[in-house]
Amino acid sequence: MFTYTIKRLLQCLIVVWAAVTLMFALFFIIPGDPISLKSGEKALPQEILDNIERKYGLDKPTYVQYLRFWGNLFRGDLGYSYKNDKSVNTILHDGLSTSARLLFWGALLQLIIALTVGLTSAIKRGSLGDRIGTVFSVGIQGIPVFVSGLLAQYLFGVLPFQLHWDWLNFFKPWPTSWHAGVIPGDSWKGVVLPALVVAVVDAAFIARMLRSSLLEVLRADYIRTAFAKGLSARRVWFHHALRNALIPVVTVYGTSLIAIFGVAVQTEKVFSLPGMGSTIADSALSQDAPVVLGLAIVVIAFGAVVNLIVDLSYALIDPRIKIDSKAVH
Amino acid sequence: MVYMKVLSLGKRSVAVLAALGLAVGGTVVSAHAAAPAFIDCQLFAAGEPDHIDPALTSTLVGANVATMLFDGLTDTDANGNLYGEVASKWKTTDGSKTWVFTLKKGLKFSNGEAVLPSSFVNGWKRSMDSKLASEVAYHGDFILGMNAYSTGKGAFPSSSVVADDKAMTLTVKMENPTSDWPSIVGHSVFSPIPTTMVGATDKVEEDGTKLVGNGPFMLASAITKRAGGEVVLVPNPNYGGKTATLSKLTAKIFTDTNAAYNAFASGQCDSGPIPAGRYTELLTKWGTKGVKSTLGTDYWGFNWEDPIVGGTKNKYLRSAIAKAIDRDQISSVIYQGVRKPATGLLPPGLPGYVSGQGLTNSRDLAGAKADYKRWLDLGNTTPPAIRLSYNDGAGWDKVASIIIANLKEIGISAKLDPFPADGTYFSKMRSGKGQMIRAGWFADYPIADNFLYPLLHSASIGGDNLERYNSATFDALVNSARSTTNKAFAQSQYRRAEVQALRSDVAITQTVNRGIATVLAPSIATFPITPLGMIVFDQVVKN
Repeated sequence: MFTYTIKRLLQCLIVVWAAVTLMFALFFIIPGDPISLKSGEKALPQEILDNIERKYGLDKPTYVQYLRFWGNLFRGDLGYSYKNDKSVNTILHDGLSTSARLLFWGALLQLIIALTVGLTSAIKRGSLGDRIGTVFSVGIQGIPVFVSGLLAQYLFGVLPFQLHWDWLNFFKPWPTSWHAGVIPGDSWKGVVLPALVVAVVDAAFIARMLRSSLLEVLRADYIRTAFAKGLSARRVWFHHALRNALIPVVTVYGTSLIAIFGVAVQTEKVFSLPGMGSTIADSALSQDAPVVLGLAIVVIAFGAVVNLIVDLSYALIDPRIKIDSKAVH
Repeated sequence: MVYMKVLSLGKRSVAVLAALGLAVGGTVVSAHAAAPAFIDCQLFAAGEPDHIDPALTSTLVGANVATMLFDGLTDTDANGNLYGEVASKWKTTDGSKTWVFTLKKGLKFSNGEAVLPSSFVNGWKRSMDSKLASEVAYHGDFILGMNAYSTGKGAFPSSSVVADDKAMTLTVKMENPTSDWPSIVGHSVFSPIPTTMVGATDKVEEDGTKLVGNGPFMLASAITKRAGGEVVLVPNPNYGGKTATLSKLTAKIFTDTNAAYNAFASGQCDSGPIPAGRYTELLTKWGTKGVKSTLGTDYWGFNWEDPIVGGTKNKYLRSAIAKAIDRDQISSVIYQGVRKPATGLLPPGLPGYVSGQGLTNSRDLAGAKADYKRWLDLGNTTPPAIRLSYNDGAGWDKVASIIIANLKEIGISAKLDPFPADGTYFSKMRSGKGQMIRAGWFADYPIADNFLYPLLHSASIGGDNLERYNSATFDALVNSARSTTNKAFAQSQYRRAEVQALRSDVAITQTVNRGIATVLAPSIATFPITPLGMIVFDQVVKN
């Protein structure tokens, strides 16, 4: 087990190194020049461009820049943004804070919505609630985030303000402090709309999944037996049916949590939130390499660590994986 | 038991949400409260600011904050008039080669330190330092010997910038006669700094207590420059001028125009940007107090070295194109009147501005057809579709499409020539890759030279002279304007140079003058904007 863990850990490090090196190389391959991008439509004198290049070490050979990058990285220094000279460590701290809170609330709301809609649709099959749930599921899935985001801003921000229904005005500034996001404080309203937009996209899919899974289970013999034994409908649904119906749903929910990252990037853009996704996207467009690399390292390392944990858990659960591992050697 | 936990979580969550819903009913918040604080959602709508440090900022949004934090020697008011900010008067002793500024006494930085002539020397020493690598350091090149310092080739030219703190004078020696120096020195890069900021790095703005200025406002806290964050300013208690009427100025940072407008329209802000294509609708709804023409011009240039549209032999083709373009259509359809049709390169409001310096003020279809025929009669054949080059992703395709349709009416074929939005457009144009080139310019300071020299002088080829226009006549006119000590003569030479480039050579053809359009809450009574696009927040009045 120890050897296996070490081996997987090494593989993980190689993956991180290779991915970061590839991204580093890409900044030299793709057309464009981050320093020229800074000047916009006005040309900067060559001497000024030289000053800026020296400041960021871009006048050094590529391999020197590469070695310096890793040297700084080992010291925990992710460098400084070409765009505004802000420390990437600080940008990372801000971005992680925002993204984590958005994902937390998004995932939680997603679960609540999916369970409510899925259960209602399955238990009250054919009812008005089921039909509304089905329409909601199909409809919501087809709406792009930038549309649902702007729609939410209008319905829960602009319109209530015009109608003086301030209690319904949820388009508030995003809370900047941690406690306000995790433990809702005065600015909790700022969390609701972005989290809701993140949640509804896959919530609809999970709700439909839960409905079909539950309907299939409800047709099973053991459910009929449970009813025949005289158990209450509530006990059959929640104790016997839901338990089995949830198995595929839990699998989908796990996948959905990963997919939620993608949705969160768009949501951050629509709501102008300083999250990891929107920062990487904005920085990539302006070829702000230190920011993109710094943030990407975290994302890549996170993915590699998750994979490592999954692999190790496989090895713990299934001893044959260890045997196969030895066989390889 | 997992599902039971999930289920119970769901129940609890529903209960929590229900409770929160009830709580919300009693929570009524209105951003348009009576307190004279101002929340601006416009300032950073175009993207996050680069810097708010006056030595470093190169964007309008960043410079707007910088000008609220720092007062320079001079500035331009909302009517375009030059006035002394820290300077009480100024004079030139030797025909614009040496300028002496006399500073007002008793002015202080927000930390209580006196604003002295040496504060300006310290500020310029910092902002022009090659190690700071400021993008705007080149503005100091007007000063004798400053270029060597800002490029790291020499020491600070102490003999060119002499402070006398007792006499409260600052003497500046110029590289060449510079009659417009009092206007140029109003740029934020020439701001003073207190002794606490001497040698400060480019990180100083991250700590609100260290970026110390002498302007009407000061930073309330360390700034958050990223989208979703904000910059909070409060009145400077030591300000020597008129105290701001606002108790607080919050600039909320947005990267999405729609989100910024929605924040305004939902009562979160006092001002906001207008999403593309909604100018008429929203200005009708919210009023036009936030609309202002600024010192900028959009134009299309002709690659002077292109065999079809360039050079003196193709003048009539260029004039046909210039006369065929419907500027009114571009103004009304694309900008819904916010950007007005231009009649020359120099915009209205610029000192010495004269209307109608371009080839034509309005569309001249008959003249365009006649000029095109004249060009064909000179032995030219119908040209292949003329490429309208522009940087993609910024909406210029719509302007180009109108021009293509305009040209089609006189029998000239043209096509879109988009360049990727990767920042390489301007460098490609500089190297002669374009044919008919989309360009524009926004004044750094309100002087004619700031347009004509960088955009059309042969010395600027490879720089901002994207068309690679090369005219000895034009150069001679601009050179004579630059070297004279007679301001009236200089303005007359600049006007002649403009006519030479736009009318005689048709090197470029103007389309619209730039403008700013902001929506304002009904409570905003006064919202002054300078021709340089700066919102004068210390003079904003909110009822």
